[in-house]
Amino acid sequence: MTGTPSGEVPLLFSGPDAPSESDLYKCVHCGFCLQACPTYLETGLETESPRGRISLMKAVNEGRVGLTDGVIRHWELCIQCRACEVACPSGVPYGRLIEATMAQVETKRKLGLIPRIVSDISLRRLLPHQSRLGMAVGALRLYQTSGLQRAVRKSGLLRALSGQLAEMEESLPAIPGTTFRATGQVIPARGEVRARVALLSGCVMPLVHGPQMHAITRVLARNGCEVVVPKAQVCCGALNSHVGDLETARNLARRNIDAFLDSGVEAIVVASAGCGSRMKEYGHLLREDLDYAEKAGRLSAMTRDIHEFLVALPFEAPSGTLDYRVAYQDSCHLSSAQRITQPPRDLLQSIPGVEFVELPRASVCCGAGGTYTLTERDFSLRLLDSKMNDVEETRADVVATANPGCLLQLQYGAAKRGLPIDMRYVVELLDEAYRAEDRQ
Amino acid sequence: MTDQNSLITELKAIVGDTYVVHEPDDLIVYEYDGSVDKGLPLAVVLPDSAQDVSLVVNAARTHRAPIVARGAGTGLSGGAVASEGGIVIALTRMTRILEVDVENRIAVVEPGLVNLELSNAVSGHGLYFAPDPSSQKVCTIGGNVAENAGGPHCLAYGVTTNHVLGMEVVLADGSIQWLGDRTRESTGYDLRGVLVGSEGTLAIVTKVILRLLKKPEAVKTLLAVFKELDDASAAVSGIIGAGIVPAALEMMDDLCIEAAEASVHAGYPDGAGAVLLVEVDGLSEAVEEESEEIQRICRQFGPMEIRTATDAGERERLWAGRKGVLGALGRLAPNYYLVDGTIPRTKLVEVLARIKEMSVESGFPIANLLHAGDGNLHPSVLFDERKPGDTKKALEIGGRILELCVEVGGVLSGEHGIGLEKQEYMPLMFSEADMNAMARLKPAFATGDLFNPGKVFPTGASCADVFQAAVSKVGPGAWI
Amino acid sequence: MVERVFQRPADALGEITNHNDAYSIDGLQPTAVCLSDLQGLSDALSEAAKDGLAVAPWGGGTRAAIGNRPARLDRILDLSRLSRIVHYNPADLTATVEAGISVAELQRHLAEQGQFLAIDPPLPDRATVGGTLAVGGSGPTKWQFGHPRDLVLGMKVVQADGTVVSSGGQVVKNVSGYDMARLHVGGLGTLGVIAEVSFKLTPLPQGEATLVAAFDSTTRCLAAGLAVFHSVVTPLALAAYDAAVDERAHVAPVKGHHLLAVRLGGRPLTLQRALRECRSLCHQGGATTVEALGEADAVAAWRKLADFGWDEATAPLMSARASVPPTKLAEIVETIANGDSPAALRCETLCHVGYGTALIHWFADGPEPPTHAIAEVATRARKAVHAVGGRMNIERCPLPVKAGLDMWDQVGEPIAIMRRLKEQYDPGNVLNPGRFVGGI
Ligand SMILES: Cc1cc2nc3c(=O)[nH]c(=O)nc-3n(C[C@H](O)[C@H](O)[C@H](O)COP(=O)(O)OP(=O)(O)OC[C@H]3O[C@@H](n4cnc5c(N)ncnc54)[C@H](O)[C@@H]3O)c2cc1C
Ligand code: SF4
Ligand code: SF4
Repeated sequence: MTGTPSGEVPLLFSGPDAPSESDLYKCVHCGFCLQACPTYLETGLETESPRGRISLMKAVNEGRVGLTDGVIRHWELCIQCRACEVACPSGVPYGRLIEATMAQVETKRKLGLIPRIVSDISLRRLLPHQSRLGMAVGALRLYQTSGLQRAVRKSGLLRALSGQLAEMEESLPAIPGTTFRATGQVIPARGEVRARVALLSGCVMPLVHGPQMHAITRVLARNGCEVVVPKAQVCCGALNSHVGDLETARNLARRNIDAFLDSGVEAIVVASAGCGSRMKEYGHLLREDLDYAEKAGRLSAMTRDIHEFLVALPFEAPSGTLDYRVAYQDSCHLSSAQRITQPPRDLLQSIPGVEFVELPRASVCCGAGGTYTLTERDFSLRLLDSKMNDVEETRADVVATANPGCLLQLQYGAAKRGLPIDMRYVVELLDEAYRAEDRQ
Repeated sequence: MTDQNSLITELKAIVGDTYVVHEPDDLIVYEYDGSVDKGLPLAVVLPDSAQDVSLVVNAARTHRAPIVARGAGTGLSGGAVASEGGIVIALTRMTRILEVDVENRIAVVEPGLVNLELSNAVSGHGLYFAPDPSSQKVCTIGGNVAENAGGPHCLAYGVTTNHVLGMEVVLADGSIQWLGDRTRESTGYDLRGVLVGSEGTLAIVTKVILRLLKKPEAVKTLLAVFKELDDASAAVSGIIGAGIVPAALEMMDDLCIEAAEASVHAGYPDGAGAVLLVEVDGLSEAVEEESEEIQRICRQFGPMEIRTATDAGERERLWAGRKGVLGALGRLAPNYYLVDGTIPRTKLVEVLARIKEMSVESGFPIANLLHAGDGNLHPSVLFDERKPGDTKKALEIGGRILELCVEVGGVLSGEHGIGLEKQEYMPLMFSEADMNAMARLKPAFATGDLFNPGKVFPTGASCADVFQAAVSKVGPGAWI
Repeated sequence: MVERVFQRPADALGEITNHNDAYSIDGLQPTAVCLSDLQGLSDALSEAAKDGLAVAPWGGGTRAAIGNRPARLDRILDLSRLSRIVHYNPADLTATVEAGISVAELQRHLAEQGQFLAIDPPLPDRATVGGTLAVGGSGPTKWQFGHPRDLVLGMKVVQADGTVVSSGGQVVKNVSGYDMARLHVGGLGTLGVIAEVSFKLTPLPQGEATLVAAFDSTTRCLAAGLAVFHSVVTPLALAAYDAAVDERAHVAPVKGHHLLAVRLGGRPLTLQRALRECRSLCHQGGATTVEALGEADAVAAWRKLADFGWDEATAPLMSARASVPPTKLAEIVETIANGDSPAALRCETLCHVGYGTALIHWFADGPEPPTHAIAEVATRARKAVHAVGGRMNIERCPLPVKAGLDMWDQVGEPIAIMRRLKEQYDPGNVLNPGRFVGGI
């Protein structure tokens, strides 16, 4: 069979993390998910579609095929954007299925050199450890600001070594000087206290988007929220489960539960869509953990996406004006995994002066998808290209989104085409509007 | 084996390596469509042009491999299943809208284009493509043409065949020909007309010229709730009898209502026995006058409640119960077998009563949702496949319902086609001579049994065999 | 002179009349047999097949001259007594009728129940349902209700060997088996004799009104017609005709260079609104007068428009039916009717605007021009139609012209399929040999 060296026994799904049969056989292969799937839209291939991926899971489950490289390849190409889940009339929990499937694959995967290094270094060694990640990002910043980056780019050294490396290097985000650190700090509410919340700082955002994290706390405070940022919190584990490393993901989840659950808040606010969706599913992740299952469920129930939270609060519309034409790109983990599409749009449209335009196919993934942009470079860029075509069509000055991965991906897309379009977080724009009102 | 390899090499030379799927593991994802039928192809090819299709057809013919065309694979009668192996030509890369002629209200499109994408694309011009199968977000124009797909709004505006002016096809000899053109009348035999609904057995469609309609000025949706199914049926007859042809006229029975109420909280009153959904569109005056009249007719039959809506959001809410009903049925039983048949509208009361009898006798609940305006029934037999023997019984009831449809002057399928699912039932409706006349289209198109062999016509297997191992075929959150 | 040919009980026998002038087609004078039931028709056909006779089905004889001159013709099958209404269920809006019933008689029955069949061929008192379908012709009401083939639900056909076959059904939505009826509508009885048809019926509109607008130019008139086509109003019929047509047929008491007739239907307020819209569209389009006709005038006007070119009073020397994209009508009317002509013929046109049909009639004011000149007129007209992507069939012309001119426009490569269809269904070439496209 494909990709299986002769003699090797094909692996079947096994163990507690195998995709559940009741989830799998909910799929009646009606095909309603096809048009939601970015990889299918890009290729027209059923092998790269949700229905196809599920039928391969079924086939492995039934022992019709083994866990061959060929089969695995189709799952790897899945961005895990979960748009298919929204489209499915049968309620197939695709996110859960692919997560369980990738966990099965983990032991068997034969990654190419670069994806392996990336996943190994970043996922196992860096992300779980804020300090190490901090150092790495610090080094990256040094690299960017010291002139070394320019020298390297100019030398063409990377390109000569590997086109792929060079491309990846080019898409590295510009690291700002300001970072955000979770130190157990409490940010007081402005005016009357309306709510006490805890904030997930996350792993990537505070380093890459430090100023934006500060903006987020300002927006919460401006709306009467006292914000706690527990020191003991860690990365949410989303990227680990993405590639099937459920063990690390579970460890991280337990640590976060310990860090957040006793912070005495009404809600845990999460500004990154990917982290929010992960935390909302801690309950499922730890369902077999006798000590943590119940706590995990409670934590999931307390988790709120920032846009969702602000709209429900309800937030105060700013009076400061921003003169932008703004489009919104749905972050998959917000729109599909958390089914939140209207609140970010409401926030944007509440800002005086903002001319809101709908981005065509806003709900189709931009190709960022966690580590996808690194591990599936070619495909990620194809998707980005389609996305940027749509972005150009809107003639927007600003494209807002709700997740660091999306933001970086879009920024790279704009830079690649030399487009003068600003990529911003929704809440960051809200903050700008509040600050404008302060100035008035 | 070497022969197969050389075929694959040839195919790759035509469309490139990426677009020939032939590894056994990969082919698994092409063994099904939206139906219960399965069959593994030898290879799947994704052509990018009519020329590609033509070359693939030539290669397949030389190697004596049958060809199955495939759109989105949402068909409910197994049309896109490679039941005899061979090559699947998937048209999912040919998705371009080649031309929109706004003045003449014509669009020229490739067959892989998704139905709703066309309406979306021309919406800015105030136009739309009328056939709206419930699967319109994913099913392709090519699939619509092959199945002559319909939808709830086909009552007033007609099914696919009424909207296809012409098409480019690839015949079994590999030649690329145009049947029909941009005009409304054709010269010679209406080959375009027989090709529509021929379920991929006569030719591969590579371009389609479609009529577009202008969007109506106003739309109004009415929802009427009745205590008794008979009253709702009588209201349907009353509406049709009053000379109103609504854009849509849908109905569902108490079981559907119960399920919908539990899942989408549609807010139907207690004890509701039937819900009628009527949509009228056109000039705003026409919409007002007709909706007045429809309400007057409904009131004659003692409705428990009538609701109306004109803005899009409100209308969507009225439709919610109807559209959510399949998903909701899952709450009543783990599986359902959805039957598709059409009866004369006037037999509605009789047929529904007899379906009820079957349900009482067999102990299997049967929920009825209907495109009542055109007599298209979708009774769903509820069952639990985990109970031994129940699947088979449910399928047998389905078969009896089909027999009943034919007995009262109706037909085997209103919109899902014959394919593999109902081929053994064809003799219920057609004599040997009738079917022989149909079968002669194949030699006339000189297909040599290249295209979709083994479908539509009976093979002599018993119906029960065909219906084995069925599970609920349609996603419960989909609506039919 | 009457011959008996069938060994069947006397009451079911058809009568054969010899050399009856009334049944002549293109100067050929075959024998005729008048049939009154399906069995008789079937017997007559199998008999003919056995004897190698060429037969032509005959309805009301209103368009007996359509098509090329028969290659052979031995016997007419007169179906006018095969005229029962087999089944009429007003509440279902469906009816099944035998093919020989005249359209007018059927309409009378239907009208009693407030319904009609949306086909309006010329001379409906004589034109039969079967004949109308076989020539595929209808009148102005196809504007809203489509081609007659779209009204056929099912059909019983007697094949050349006498076999009776059915297709379709009696219900309005049906996808069971191939849609065979499509081959026979417009098939000129060359593949089988239409014996019984199930139709979809339409409720008569509650109220009707007809507007006639006069324009001082053809272009303006047709442009106004297109404006109605593109407006929110959906007329029942929309016809444009020139002054000469009006002079000849006295269509309506409104005079002008080119006239537009709009037939509207609906409930009172709808009708008022539609009238208002159409009036203003005509005025905007430069109409010199716009008048609503009284009921009697309206009925007469539409009757005359449907009959034009087919009744005694308006019989032209030659007529053609051109089908073009709607926007091209003005162009071909201008080139054909108003361009210079190789023969002294007067060209008069009647167009179904929006549908794209132009009925072109040529009249000889003086003596009949030479055959080749008439043929040249037709050929040039056809060229003009081809230039705008349309097709033109000649429906009537002097017999000698038929010898050198194909009445049917070219059908291109699919002629091979059409020939094979003929071989499949009528291998002995019994049915109407030589009259159809490509010598079929
Ligand atoms: C939940 C659900 C709801 C549905 N609702 C409706 C409904 O309301 N009304 C309705 O009519 N149907 C409905 N269907 C059935 C189905 O969606 C339609 O039959 C649709 O037209 C199939 O399109 P497809 O692109 O999926 O075709 P496929 O399933 O891929 O193919 C269908 C047939 O078309 C042939 N074919 C496809 N493309 C071509 C081509 N280019 N040339 C020649 N042959 C071709 C195939 O060989 C096959 O025989 C529903 C299906 C589902 C799953
Ligand atoms: S998660 Fe996204 S990429 Fe993966 S199958 Fe679903 S829609 Fe496709
Ligand atoms: S929509 Fe759901 S049920 Fe249908 S094929 Fe996709 S995952 Fe399966």
